[in-house]
Amino acid sequence: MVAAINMEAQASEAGPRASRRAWLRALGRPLTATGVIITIFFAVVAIIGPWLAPYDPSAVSDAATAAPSAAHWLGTTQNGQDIFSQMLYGARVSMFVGVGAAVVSTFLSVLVGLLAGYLGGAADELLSLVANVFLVLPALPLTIILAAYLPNSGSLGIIFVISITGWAWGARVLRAQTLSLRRRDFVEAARATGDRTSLIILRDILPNQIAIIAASFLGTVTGAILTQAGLAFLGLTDVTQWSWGTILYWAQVSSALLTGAWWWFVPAGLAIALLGTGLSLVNFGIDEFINPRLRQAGIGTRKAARGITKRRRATRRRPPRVSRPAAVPFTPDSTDVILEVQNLKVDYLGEYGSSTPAVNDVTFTLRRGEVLGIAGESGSGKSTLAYAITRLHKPPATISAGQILYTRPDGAKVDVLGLNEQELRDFRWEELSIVFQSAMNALNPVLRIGEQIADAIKAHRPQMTEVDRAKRVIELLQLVGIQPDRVRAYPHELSGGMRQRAMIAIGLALDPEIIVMDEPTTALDVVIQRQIVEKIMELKDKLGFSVIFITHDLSLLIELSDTIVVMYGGRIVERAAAQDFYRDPRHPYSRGLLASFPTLSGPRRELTGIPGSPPNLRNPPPGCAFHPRCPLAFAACSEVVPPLYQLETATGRTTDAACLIYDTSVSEGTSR
Amino acid sequence: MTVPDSVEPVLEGVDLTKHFAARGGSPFRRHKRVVHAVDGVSLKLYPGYITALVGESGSGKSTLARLLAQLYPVTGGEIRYRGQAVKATRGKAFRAYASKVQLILQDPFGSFNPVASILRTLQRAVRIHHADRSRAHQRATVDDLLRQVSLVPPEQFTEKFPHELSGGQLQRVSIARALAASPDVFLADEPVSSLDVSIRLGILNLLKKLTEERDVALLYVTHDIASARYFAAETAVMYAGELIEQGPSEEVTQHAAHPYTQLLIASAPDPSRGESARVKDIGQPPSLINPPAGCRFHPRCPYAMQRCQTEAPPRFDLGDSHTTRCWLYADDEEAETRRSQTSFTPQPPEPQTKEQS
Repeated sequence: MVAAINMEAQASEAGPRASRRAWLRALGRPLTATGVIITIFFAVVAIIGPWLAPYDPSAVSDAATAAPSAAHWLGTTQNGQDIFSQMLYGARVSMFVGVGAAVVSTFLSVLVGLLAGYLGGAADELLSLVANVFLVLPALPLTIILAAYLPNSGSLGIIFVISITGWAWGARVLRAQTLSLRRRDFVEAARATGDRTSLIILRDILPNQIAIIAASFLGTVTGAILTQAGLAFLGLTDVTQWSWGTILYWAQVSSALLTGAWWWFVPAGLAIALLGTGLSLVNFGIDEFINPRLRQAGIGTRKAARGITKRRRATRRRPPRVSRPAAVPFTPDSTDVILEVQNLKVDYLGEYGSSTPAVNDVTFTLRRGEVLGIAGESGSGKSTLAYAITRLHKPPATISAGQILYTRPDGAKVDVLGLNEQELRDFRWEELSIVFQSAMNALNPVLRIGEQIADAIKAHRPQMTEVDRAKRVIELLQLVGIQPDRVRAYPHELSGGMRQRAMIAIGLALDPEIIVMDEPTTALDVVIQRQIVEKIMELKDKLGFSVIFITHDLSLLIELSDTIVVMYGGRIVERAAAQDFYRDPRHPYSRGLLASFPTLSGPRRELTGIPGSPPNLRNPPPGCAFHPRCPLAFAACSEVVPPLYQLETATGRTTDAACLIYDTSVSEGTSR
Repeated sequence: MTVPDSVEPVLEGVDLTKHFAARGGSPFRRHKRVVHAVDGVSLKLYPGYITALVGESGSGKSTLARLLAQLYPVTGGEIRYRGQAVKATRGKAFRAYASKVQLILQDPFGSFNPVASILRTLQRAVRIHHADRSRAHQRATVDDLLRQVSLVPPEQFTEKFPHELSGGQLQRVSIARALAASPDVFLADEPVSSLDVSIRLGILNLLKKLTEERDVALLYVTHDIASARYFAAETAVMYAGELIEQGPSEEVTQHAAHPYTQLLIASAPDPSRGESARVKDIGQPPSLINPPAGCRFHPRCPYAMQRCQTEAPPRFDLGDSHTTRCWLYADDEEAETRRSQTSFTPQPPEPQTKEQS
């Protein structure tokens, strides 16, 4: 076990280094980098500007209202003052007010927001009340009045005015965030370890809000600079102190616009606009700087969206729906194939043109009336496969090879991957429907259950009358075992099991041939799970559809499936009839899985389990993906990807297993 | 694997009750509506042994674990640590208690601060419980903790962030965090439910090894009664906030007495059972705001009798420290007839062996 864990750790070695590089990568984004450069430029100007200024900004000279020249780069004012020098001095005041106001108001918001959110109770009510009072103060008039009373207090007065009117909003946002963070497991874990409240706030709550705090800080800087400029422009500040707003004030007072002295007001306006833009750009990129998880994600998505190949468009022709033959019970020897997946490969596109295969060379057939169980752990590709079959996969996933052949009731075969949008919509739900794991997320919370079922019918059978539709909805509800009087219930009024039943009712609405169920019972308790599974089996016998049932719960799968497909590392490693699989699993991984389950009846047996962890798909082991954890592995296993070998079983059927121990040419006589 | 009588419990909940104030309801009503999350539960945890607490979601099993961790104050009853009643929900007393009783949470992905490295997370825990040690010693302790949970070499894990580790590795780190306090009691709330099947066994074996080697008591909260059979000496079953059956794990799983336990076992997928009897049950757990009178399971119980609707069943002793709260095990004719209809197979042959020494 130790060795196996060790190995996996080495496999993901690149982790921390990559995440540190990501800081630089975020800077490498053109927009963020532009923002950072602009911001830094103005910050530097604010600090060293006064020393750079060629003239005293207030010094009067003869060159009145002169256009830009070599002596006066940005021209002069009516009094011959150098505008370039004024701009440099003004940068300091504007930046000082902006940053100062942001520091003060962010400090107030963080203090009030975090305390109110974390302490709760009376402290929360009091602090929230204060914040709410400040929130409803009319900010603009108050700012103007306060500024008018404090005209000679300089920048500090302005900072005070802006902070007082601006902190409450941030406090409210942070309080809400804190409330939700406080309920998270890691905060509870910190509490259970015995940490002090102050430490929990500083270490667990605050760092997780840095993105919001930083965003609100930068937002306040921008806002404060604009407010200062506005106040100065109105003449409400000390007009002898040079800031960009004051320059605009004097330009306005001296009718610069009328006299066409554009150089007087354009630089100040531009500087304000540019700095605002720069700060906003930094703001957009800031989440990626701070969240270690986001640093890695989401790069391939756009690429895959572009990369989805436009397959050939079949001619638009809606085939008449042939009524399907009466349901015949499924037998293991049936050859009535309804869905054929051939060599399917699904890739996740990554950065720098890399791609990670999540599903690789998967081939299987589904027969009419069959329950095909797909088993696999997280990362085995089973859910990606389900989405790919229904073509619901989203970028960055893309189908890069393979075929999915569906046999229509009239016997014609169609390639699902070649269907156009309209045909695909018809195919989904009419022929194949999907039941997802989380019924609460898949149902619309603001629509009644009945309406949601009716919507599915309406979309596909627009000609159906209102009355017929309502009848069908009731029929479906009864079919899945929901009391018809619940038709007007909202999703939240139903229990988890009932919601999952409603999902199944929607899946059945158009009488599909195939239902794909992606972990439909995983979130449910065993007793409810049992009820749902029995319902599915009963409906299947009655209506004769085929089921692709995907789950990690192998014991459940063995009980309900006809055929079992086991996936590991994106490939099928074993395909067998369920009973053969249970009695005699052939792949070492399947054997390990079966030896991981505690059993309830019969004598207690030895549980051996499987050492190590599932493979990292970004960096899969060479050869057979299972070899690092395999007790039977030999040298060739790390070199050759084993194909599926067809093996005879005791029942006279065949089982396919992808393991080199079944290859007579490379096997070293290991046990079969 | 049963607990010998000579072993004294290290942690004990006596008649624990927790009611949460329910939201909503009329502001004019005098009595506030409450959720009866846990009602009158008594449970003992023994050093060196695992006690499983089995139940469905909403049965109150997680609340009970948090009550024992003193994360919430109890509404009624008391918690005894080594025979002494302790009330320590805040401040210094809580910290002292937390160094003895540690909680391990279900979701390893959620129970770590995403912006702190593994080293920082573990260092914090070490600093709380070993404040007297030097910096270097604390750092060495972190490595040692990682080694104890088989994350070797430790240097490969200390600098990582939670999202860079797999679920199984993270759950090992969270066990290491709990170990930092060198506690006497672990309260593990569904420690493997969110992990992949092939990894669960490794974590459970690790917990079992730690329990036995360090002679600590472990409360294993789970919805998977089959794993209780394999890992726990004792199993307790909860339904709707009450403890309805309790006893040695093999007894409880092989000779389940309470109809709910029988339902739970029949519902669990288990290919080893062969052709399973179809479960005929359409009910669901009751509302805990207005729990049913009498036995809380009676609306779903196929064997319910008149008295089940009105009188809460007392605890009946089935011998071998196997107890259940169900009227079917009362000593009268009606109960006996009803009992013979259930799947209960008594062992030893007489279901009501009063004395067995």
